[in-house]
Amino acid sequence: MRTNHLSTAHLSTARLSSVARSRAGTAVPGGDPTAAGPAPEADRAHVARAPEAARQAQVAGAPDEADDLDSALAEVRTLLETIVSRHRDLRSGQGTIVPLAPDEAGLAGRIDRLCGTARRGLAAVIAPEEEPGRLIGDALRRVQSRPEGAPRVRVLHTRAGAPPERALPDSWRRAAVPPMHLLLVDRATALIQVESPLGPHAAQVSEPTLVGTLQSLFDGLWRRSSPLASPEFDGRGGSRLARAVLRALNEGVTDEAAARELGMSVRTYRRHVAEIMARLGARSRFQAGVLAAELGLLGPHAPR
Amino acid sequence: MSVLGNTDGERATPHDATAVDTRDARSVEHTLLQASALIATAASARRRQPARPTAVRHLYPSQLAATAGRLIDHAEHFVVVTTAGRPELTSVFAPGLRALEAARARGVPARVLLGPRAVRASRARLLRLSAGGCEIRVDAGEPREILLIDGVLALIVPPAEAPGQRPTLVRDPSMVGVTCQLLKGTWNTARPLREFHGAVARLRAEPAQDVLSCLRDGLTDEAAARRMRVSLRTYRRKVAQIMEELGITSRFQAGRRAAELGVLPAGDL
Repeated sequence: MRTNHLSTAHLSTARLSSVARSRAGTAVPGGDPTAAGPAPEADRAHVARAPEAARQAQVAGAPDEADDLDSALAEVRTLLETIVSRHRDLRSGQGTIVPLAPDEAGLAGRIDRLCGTARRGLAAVIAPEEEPGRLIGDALRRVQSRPEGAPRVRVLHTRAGAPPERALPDSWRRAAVPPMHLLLVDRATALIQVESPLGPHAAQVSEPTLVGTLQSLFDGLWRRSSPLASPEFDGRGGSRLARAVLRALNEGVTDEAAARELGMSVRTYRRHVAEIMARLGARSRFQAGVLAAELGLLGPHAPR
Repeated sequence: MSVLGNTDGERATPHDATAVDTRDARSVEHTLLQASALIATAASARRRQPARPTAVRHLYPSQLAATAGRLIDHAEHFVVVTTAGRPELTSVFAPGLRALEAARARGVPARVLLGPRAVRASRARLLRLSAGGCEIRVDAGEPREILLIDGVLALIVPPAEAPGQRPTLVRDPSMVGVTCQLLKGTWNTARPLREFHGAVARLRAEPAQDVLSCLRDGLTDEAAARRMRVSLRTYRRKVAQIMEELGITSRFQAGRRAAELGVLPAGDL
C-alpha cells in the first residue's frame, strides 16, 4: 500500500555514482592504486554490502566519506518515504465525510436521489414525526411502493408510534435508541443526523469503514428489536394481544397469573400460547423462548 | 552508456574521464540542491495549511495499541469501549483495559461492552474494572471494536475480513454522535457482566449441555429422560437446576436466556 514515489532505479544509479564521485575534485579516479589515503581496513567490513562501492572507495583512498554519504542518502530517502506515506494517511480520509447544512430543501432532494439509486437494500433509524425522519420515512414508503422489484427496506423507530398502514410486514420495528437519524443505502453510503448542544449535525458518509460500522450497529439493533407492531403478528386477537401474551411468557409468571392479568380463562390463555408457538414453529415453550429471542421479538429488557 | 557517461561519442581517455567526472559531480550536487529546495517548498506549503485535525484518519495496525492507550489516557469526561475480543487484537485490548483502569482511578466514567469471547479472555481484569466502578455489559452478538472518547472522538477497528475497511480515527461530530446513540441502543439490550459470569461457564460444561440439547430439540420431558437414560424426576431436577443457574422461572425464559447467552449446543432447532 505504501508506494514509493522516489524512483528506485534512479536512486540506485545515483548511489553508485555518488560513490564514484564522492571525492569529486580531490583525486584522480580510474584506478591509481598508489593514491594516498587511509588504510582500507574499514572497507573490508563493507565489502559484502557494496562490493563495487567498497572497491572503488578503497582504490580512491577515502572509504569513510563514501560510506557516510551512502548512508546519509539512504536515510534521507527512507525518511522521505515515511513522510509521503504519513501525509497520505492524513489525507486518505479527506472528502469521505461531507458535512451537510441542515436546510430542508437540499436534504429532501439528496434523500430522494440516494433512495432512487438503491438496488440492494435500505436501512434507516428515524423518529418519524421529526425532520429529517419524516422526509426519510416518506422516501422509503415511495421505494416500497415501487411496482417493479423494490430493494429490501428496514426501518427502526426511535419513538413509540404506529407503523405506516401500508408498510410491508417485517420492515418497521421499534428500538430503544436515543434520538438520531440514519439512512444507509446499499451498505455503501450513509446519511446521518444527530442533535448536539451546538445544534444539529448532519453529514453524508462514504468511507467504507464508517459505513460498515453503522451498518453493523444497525444490524445488531434490528435483530434485537421488537416487530410486535408489525402486521405479521396480526390475526385473531390482534397484535396487541399477541404482544401481551409474549410479554407474560417473557416475565415468567404462571399461566394462572397471566390469564388473570389478561382477563381470560387459563384454557384461553394456553390456546393463545399454543398459537404463538405454532407461528414461531416451536414445539415447546423452551424452543419458543429461543426462537423469540433469535427473532428479536422480545425487545429491550425492562429495568430491574 | 557506461558509468563514466560519455555523451560526446569520443573514445574515453584519462583526460576526458576527469572532465566527465567533474561534470557528473556537479550534476549530483545540483540535483541534491534541487531536492533540498523542493523539500523547503513542501514544508512552507504545509505551514500555509490551517492546523485543523482531520475529520477522518486511517491508521496502521501497528499504531493501534499506542493510539488507543494515548486516547484513553487523555480522556476527561467519558470513555466507551466495545469489543468482541478478537484474538488478533489482544495486543491492543490488554493495554487498553489497563489504560481504562487508570482512567477510572482518575474518576473518568467508563462503559465496556463485550462479546462473550472477550469476557472469557480477561476475566480477572474485568472483575477489577467492575469493582472500580466501570459499567460492564455483555452482548452475545459480537460487537464491533470501537473506542469512544468524551463524545468527540471515535477509534474504529474493523474486522480483518471486511473489504476495504481500515482502522479509522474519526472526529466528525455527526459520525461520532450517531455512533454514540447507536451504541447506547446496543447497550440497552445487553446484559450486566455479573449476570453473565460463571453461569455461562457452567452451562457450557458437558452435563448442562446434554440437558440443553434436549430442551433445544423440543423433546417432551419423558423423551428427554429416556435419551439421557435417567428417571423423569432426575431430568426435571436437572432442568430446574439450569433454570436456577440462569436465574429464571419458566421454560420460555430459559430458552430466551440460553439463546442470549449463546450457550445452546450447536444444531438446528
